[in-house]
Amino acid sequence: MSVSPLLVIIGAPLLGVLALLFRVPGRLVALGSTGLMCVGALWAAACMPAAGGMQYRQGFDWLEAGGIRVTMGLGVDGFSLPFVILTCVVALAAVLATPRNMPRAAEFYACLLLIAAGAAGSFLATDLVFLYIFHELALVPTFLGIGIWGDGPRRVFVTFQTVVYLMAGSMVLLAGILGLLWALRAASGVAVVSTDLVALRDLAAAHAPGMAAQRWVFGFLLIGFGTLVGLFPFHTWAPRAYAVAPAPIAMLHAGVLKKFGIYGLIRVGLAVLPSGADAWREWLLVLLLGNILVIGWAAVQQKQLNDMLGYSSVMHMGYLFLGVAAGTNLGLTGVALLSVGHGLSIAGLFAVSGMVLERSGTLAMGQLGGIASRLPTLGFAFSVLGLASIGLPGLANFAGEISILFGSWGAHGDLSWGPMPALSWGVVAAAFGLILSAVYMLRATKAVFFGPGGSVEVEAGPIPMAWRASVFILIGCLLVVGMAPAGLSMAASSGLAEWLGGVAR
Amino acid sequence: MPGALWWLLLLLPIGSALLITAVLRPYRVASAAVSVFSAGACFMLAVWGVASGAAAPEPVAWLRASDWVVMVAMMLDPLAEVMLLVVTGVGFVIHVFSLGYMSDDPGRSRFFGGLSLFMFSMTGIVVSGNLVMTFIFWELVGVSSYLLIGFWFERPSAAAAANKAFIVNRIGDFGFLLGILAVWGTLGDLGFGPLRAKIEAGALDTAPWLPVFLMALGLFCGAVGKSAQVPLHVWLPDAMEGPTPVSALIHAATMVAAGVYFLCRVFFLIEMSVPALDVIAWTGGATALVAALIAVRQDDIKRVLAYSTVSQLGYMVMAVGLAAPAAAMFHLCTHAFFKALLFLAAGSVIHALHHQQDIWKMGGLRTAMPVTFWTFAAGALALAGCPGLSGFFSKEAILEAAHETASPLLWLGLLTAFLTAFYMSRLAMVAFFGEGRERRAREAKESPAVMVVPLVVLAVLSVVGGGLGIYGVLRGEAAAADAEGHGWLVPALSFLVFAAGVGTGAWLYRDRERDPLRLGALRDKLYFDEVYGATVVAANGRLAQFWDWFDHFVISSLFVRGTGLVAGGVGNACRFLQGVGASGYAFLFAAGAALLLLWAAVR
Repeated sequence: MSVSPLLVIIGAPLLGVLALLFRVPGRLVALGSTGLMCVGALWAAACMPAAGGMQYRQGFDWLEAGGIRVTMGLGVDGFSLPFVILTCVVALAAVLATPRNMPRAAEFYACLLLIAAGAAGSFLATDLVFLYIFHELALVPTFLGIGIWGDGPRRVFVTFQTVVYLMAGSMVLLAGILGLLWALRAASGVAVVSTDLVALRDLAAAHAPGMAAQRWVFGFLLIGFGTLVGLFPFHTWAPRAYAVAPAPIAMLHAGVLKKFGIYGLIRVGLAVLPSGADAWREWLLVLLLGNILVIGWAAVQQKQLNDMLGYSSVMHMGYLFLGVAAGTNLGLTGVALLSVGHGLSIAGLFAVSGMVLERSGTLAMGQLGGIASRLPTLGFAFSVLGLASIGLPGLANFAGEISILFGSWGAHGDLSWGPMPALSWGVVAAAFGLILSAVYMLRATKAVFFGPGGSVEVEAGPIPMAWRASVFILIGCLLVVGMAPAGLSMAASSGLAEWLGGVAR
Repeated sequence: MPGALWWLLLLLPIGSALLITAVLRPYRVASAAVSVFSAGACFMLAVWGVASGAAAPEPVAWLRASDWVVMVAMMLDPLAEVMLLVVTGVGFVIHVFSLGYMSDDPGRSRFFGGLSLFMFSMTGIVVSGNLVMTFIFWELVGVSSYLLIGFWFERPSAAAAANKAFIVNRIGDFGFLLGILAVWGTLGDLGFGPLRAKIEAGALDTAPWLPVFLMALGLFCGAVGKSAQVPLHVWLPDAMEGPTPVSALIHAATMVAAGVYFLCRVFFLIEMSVPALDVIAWTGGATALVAALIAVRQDDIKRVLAYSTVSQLGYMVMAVGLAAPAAAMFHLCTHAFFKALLFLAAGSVIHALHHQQDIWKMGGLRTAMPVTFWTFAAGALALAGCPGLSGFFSKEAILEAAHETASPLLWLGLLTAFLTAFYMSRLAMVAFFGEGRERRAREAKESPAVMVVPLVVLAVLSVVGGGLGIYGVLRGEAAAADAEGHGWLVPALSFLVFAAGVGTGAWLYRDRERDPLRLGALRDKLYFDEVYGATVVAANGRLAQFWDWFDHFVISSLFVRGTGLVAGGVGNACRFLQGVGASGYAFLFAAGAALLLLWAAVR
């Protein structure tokens, strides 16, 4: 098997974990591995042909049993590329943002590397079973990270709740995957179904499962994948988990791993079960409005900085689901862009809140204040990242949001002078949500960073260089993608067009 | 000039902003120098480009997905060229003034970084060739304004004003964005040129009135926010928390006028809906009157000017609604000159009085600060509509438009003009005449040359700005057809209200220690903030409370924990059957999956 960038991206963190077993200094290993991941991502991006579907494909047959053939396969196309780049960058940032005095550092870095490897694997896997397995691989160290290094008295309970919740979601998803294979087998009559994604897609195109099967299976996929992303009302784990998780874990989970659900829904659900997706569109619309409006308003009410960030993260998932509901090439391209933007910005925001907690011992917005005068770096970083997350042009999130709104406006309906199609009402509500997001983000910025000092003492020593590097890498990527989004958007758009073929308009 | 050089208009200021933020922050002099240089170079470029008639550069694709493209494209017609000269010219003058005004502020680098970011964003709006590009730069001027209003962020009032400005503008942008989407959805284009061609070819001729009305209204919403029209005007007076050069540049001369500029830019679309024009005209008229009324009883020198700005913006919007975009733009230009001048003169006074802004603590500055006084007087007279000065001509153009359409807005405009003359006369009498009421006022000295020279430059423009031929350029062919001039009625009425206003003000406020008028409702700004506090803000708080409660107690507790309890019971039963540990988990996992599959299969 030749060395491809994809092997570097997945292999580097796994080798790093191996090295940690031999007591090599943890931080060095983690920095080296995640640095290599970024090199691999750059290599993959630089050498990608403009079109032509899955690139760098490699793999071998792994298992054939019970009428199912599983292939261990890797590949990347224009649609997964943004997610892969996001994974590598946020992994590096999370390592850099880890405090040097982290207790049980080697174990902690091992957790981070495993999450990174699992997330990268789930975006690179070309096989449905491995897509699932890689995600599970990333979930376990996430639970450990929250449970062992988490903060606050509710740590154990929150970890328990998160495990139960995400495992339940994963199980619904597994049921959906099994149902999918079963339905395809029933529809096509082939003896052995390959779980290779390309084969599955082509099989579904040739022998589409019946409407009832599509509807059921897509429902399972939607709720399974949706729970992992925090689709309303299956979101309640998210704000609580992020309130407790140590900053680097929250960065990786909220920034990267959560995007797996949305990626899988598009990669698998929309491609294989287009009629099922059509059948669920109105329901999805209702649920995602729950994300945008209900959670948006709930975010306004939060008193803790991390709670607010958690709610805002759940709220923004509504915009991603809007793109999925539209299912147009433009809307889905926006999903890829907004996933990158949201991932980078929420990771940076959690890094800042982690530093605020370290310096002041609290995240209660009522007690904080004036941090920008004591620690200008924190004020600057939070302002830029907060503005990115509420969709300021020039930073990546805006390009994603505007594509999603345009891609959903008038999708699946006629806009010529008649009553507005359902999705357009979704766009109206989503645009209204932009006001809400400005309200909660700017209020929090003002409460924590502006004004005179708060009631708690803030330790004003210099901010570590590594932490600065972490946040400025994230801001730099937000700026690059935000100012020149065409490269990434064209890659995602052509990848989606090739993958979904005639499915998306 | 080669067309590609136009790009420098955007690249220089954004380069300056990035350089200052990333590298030059510790070096205050270098930051200021870079920013002022970039502003000056942009002005030169704009003059050179307009004079040589350089063509717009090739557009560049910014965002692309399948067949949907957002271009960075420039549209350089006379409208854009006039606006470009005003923005870069006034911008450069104010940059120079800031060198003096901000000389002793420790955050000077951050200030000039913000100014450069603003120049980038504002220039972007002016040259923009399509709706999405306008929206992008629209948001960017909003954020520069947010950053500069909150420049002294350790003051709670400044931080609050910055948030208020951003959020109120977002409310307007909500409608703006929907308007853009509506235009794109129905006409299938984003560029101003193609849209205009489609409409002139009759694309909207058979459309029902309501969608076209809503489309125009959506676009107007953006202007209502940015140009501070009633009922979204409440952010602009609070924005005076920012440094005074910012008030002059952003919150008087250029950014707040962007709404008017944009309405003129898409006038070809708005005029397709007569009801929309009516809404625009009356919104503008109401804004002009309401703000002028409030300005009569404000005591902070910057607040008087801020309400005056709101009022004059109302005038311009009214002109657009009266189907006279050229008159609106004409007034925009002259207003940029004299209002920037008034703010800078106010800044000169505030600087000399060590940040005293209450006009009742001033007095007697006429002799202490002669240049500031004379330039302020020129600006005030131009604003009040003194015959021969720039403001008289542009205001008269708007009133003439109202007269031609026989609109009752003519009388509303005249009443506003009277109030304008009255409150400017009051401001000048109280602040500059009589004796100094406080020691700071008695010991005031004239500001340094770096601040005074910009005042003189703007004063000259305020005086002669009406005769520069701006109106003719803006009206294009219409000017030639309409060169006859108008009757004597409107000029005569304008002069009458000007004289009456100035006279009443001078008579009422000569040698006063306190305001002889009570007018509590006007002093309290007609209770707009209180009404919003009791309605919109309170409702938002209640909704946030309710949904937070709903999320915690309905979804999280009842729904999730309830399910958890049931699952826990089932789990206990399984533990009872299967023993503890991993095998139990594996069993549940498999059994659950199998059950679900079975369920799906049976259906």
